Amino acid sequence: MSLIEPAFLFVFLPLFLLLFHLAGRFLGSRAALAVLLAISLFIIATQGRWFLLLSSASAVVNLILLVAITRAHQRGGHPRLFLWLGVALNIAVLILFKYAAWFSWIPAAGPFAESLRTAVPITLSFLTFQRSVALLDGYAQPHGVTAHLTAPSPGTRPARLLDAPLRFFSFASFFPNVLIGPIAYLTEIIPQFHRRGFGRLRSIDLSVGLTLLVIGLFKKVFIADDLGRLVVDPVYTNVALHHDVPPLIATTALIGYFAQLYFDFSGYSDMAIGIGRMFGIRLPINFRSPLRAVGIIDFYRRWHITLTRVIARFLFTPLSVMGTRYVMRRRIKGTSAKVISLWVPLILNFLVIGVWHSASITFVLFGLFHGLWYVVETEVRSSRRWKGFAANSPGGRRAALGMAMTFVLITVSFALARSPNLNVFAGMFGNLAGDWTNIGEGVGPFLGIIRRLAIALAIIYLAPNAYELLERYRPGIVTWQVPSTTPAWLRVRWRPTLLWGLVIALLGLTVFGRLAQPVPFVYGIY
Amino acid sequence: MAGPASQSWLSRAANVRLFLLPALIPWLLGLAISVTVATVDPLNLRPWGLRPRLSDGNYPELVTPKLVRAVVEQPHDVLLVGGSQAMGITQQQLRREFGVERAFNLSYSLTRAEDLAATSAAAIRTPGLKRLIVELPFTAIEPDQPPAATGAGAISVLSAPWYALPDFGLDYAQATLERMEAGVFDNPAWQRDANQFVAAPAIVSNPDMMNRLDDAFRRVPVSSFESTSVLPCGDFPLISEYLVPLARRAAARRVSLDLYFPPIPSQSYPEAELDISTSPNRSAFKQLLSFHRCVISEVARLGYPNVHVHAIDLDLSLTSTLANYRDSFHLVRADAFERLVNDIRSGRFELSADDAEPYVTALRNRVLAQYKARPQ
Repeated sequence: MSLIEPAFLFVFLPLFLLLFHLAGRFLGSRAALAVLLAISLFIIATQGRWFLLLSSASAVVNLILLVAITRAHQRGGHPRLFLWLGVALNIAVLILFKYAAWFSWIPAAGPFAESLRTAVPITLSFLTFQRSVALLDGYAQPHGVTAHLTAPSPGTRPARLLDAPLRFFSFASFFPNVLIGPIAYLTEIIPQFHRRGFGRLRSIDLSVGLTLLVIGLFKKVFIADDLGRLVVDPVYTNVALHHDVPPLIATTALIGYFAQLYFDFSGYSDMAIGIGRMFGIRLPINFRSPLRAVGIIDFYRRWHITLTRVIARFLFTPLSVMGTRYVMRRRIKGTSAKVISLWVPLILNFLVIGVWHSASITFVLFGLFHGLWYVVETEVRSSRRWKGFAANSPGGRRAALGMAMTFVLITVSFALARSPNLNVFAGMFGNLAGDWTNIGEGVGPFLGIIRRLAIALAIIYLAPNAYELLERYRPGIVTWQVPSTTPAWLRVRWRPTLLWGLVIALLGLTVFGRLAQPVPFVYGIY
Repeated sequence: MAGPASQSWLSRAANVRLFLLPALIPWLLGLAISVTVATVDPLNLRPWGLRPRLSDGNYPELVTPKLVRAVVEQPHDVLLVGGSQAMGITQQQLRREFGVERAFNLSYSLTRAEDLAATSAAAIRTPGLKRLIVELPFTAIEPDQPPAATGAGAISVLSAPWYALPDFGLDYAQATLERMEAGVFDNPAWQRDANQFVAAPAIVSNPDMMNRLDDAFRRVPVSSFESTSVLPCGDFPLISEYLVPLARRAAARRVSLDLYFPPIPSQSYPEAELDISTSPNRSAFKQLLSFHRCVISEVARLGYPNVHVHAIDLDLSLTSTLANYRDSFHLVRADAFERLVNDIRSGRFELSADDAEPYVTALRNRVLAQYKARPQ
């Protein structure tokens, strides 16, 4: 069951909220958490019994290893051993199910690989990262994690033996974010399970959550799905079939995918964060107007933030630290030192992000492209000439230039991600070299979608994002502060008023008719 | 942005109850719709609810695929499964031509091999079924086509667990209420949509469409039909993964299985080259001929007496008159649909293995003749 299915939205979600509230009100916060875990397991079970089995087994193994890590810390054992064992197991499971197709060329493994792939047809990536980073939390902050897992809730009876597993399983299986993120840290979520008042629905949580849920639905169903259905998918299919596409339409499809991917994925994140908030749980914010970024460094502080921080923590930081130590030990200086301590870790970091999406050449190039761009930008921004330019040029003009450059380069790299192979990618750009003189020819049927794309771009570049809008009510956990670029006259702020209630109702009704046939989330396959 | 006075007014106005009251309206409406369709269950998607009773008329193209379970779990004598070119055939025509009481047309547009396979596999299990007619549309020939909303609707219904709501929507809720009140699952707005299959003007009265037809002859050189490769018979999933198992099931259940190639005017094939999705370096027309040849030979190889192949595209009374069509591919006149059904019943254009080559040659010659008839 997906978050956009009408059965979930209109039947199960209200029912879940009611059960959660009743358990919290009459039986206490521990019972509410048990209900929340049962709900999560039910949602996971709707994805297939193999997924339920795998997810539950993985949660049990991860809890055992987490306890082993914290105890090894306290008793002088080998916590690092348990950490790497856990991470290796998680990654092995991911590779086994997500990348099983790699092994299908082996005659003996072929049918087995295929059956593994079909047994768990949905992504395990988000779940793998969330559980692995929980082990890392246990390693880095053993006392804090132990306290979070076992601390008694205020006003309740002392902690019980089952509190730690109940809290960990509820965190590891929390249904809004277990499938497509945001990837949360244990230290962000579990403290919320034993705060005062957990288990009682609050009107303000419901209001903020409902607002985010409706905004996410609108982004996904009204903008992303239409862009995909009306322009992106047909154009990419036509190009794959070597049909000519007018240059204006090809441009619309290229920019359309830029907008589609943002609205689809950030729409999901908004919905997940909104549903979490309805249950009184704040999840980390995953998107902060990423398409307004002024460069790739800024982009990754705004786009899929929770993946960026996890990969940086697991890969970039250790690699960079290792490289720096090596450079210092060998007394390497100059560009070579930079290559070892910064450039290579950065490029590897982005290659892994690319391959995590898919082990295809287009995603390898996507990762390489972003890695190189990040390296170049890091160097340019640290150069003396840039600093001089930055000191003597108006910030607004610099930001506009940066945004324009990012728009073009992100559009190109997203086209790589959307293309099934390099021929299609080349074909898309080949069509741009077509005849621009008769620009209006064949555009008639696409006028509606061009208009829709213009609205999408206006929202991207002008409207406050959902978290700016709701900032008075702290809708989610902030990882990195990013400055707002919303024009002052559009910096409206949400409040739980009748007017906003009507706005949200209107948005909800707009998407209503499109829910009968939900389109899967783009990121559901990664 | 706002001054102190307006801030304090805003603060006073902030009231979660006032917010939630209107904001929950879509949820209350959604809940009402969900409860209505899930409780009454007019499409037989759950273990409870009323027995499906469908209208005598056709349904809109997005609704028809979602009727699959409602149709196949009730006794029927004749069922028709296929693509958009078969959508205009009515239940009355099927009943009249085959002399039966219960018939239904489950055809919908943009059919793919995968959803045609799923729909037909469900249809063949229909209690009391005597005849299953399957149109083989060219949209279903090419492998790995992306799913359309229609086919996705059929799959969503066939694979729906009891808690899913593929029948969610205001129009479905209205039709459900109609089922409760008038005894038939129907919606007046749907009938207007469904009538377009037979009420649209003919292509000959549309100069733009006629120009497109002519233009295609200029844009698609005759050589493009000959110089390209075709898929071998084993690479058509529609045949290997679908038709063969379906024929076996039909034989086991003693159901007559009529496969037919839809009637396409010979003037339309060049346009099909431009419109129909096919792999690069392959001609849609040549691929179509190859597919037809493979179907004929495979059915002959299976040798089941109850499985027949009909080449309705040989019926010149249909294909030679563009006035029978609403666009380049779709019949529009009721008498043309009647003729089509009659062709199937009479077996007038039934093919055996020996007829395969003459049939393919005849079709190719007709298209080449169209080129010769036009100044290049």
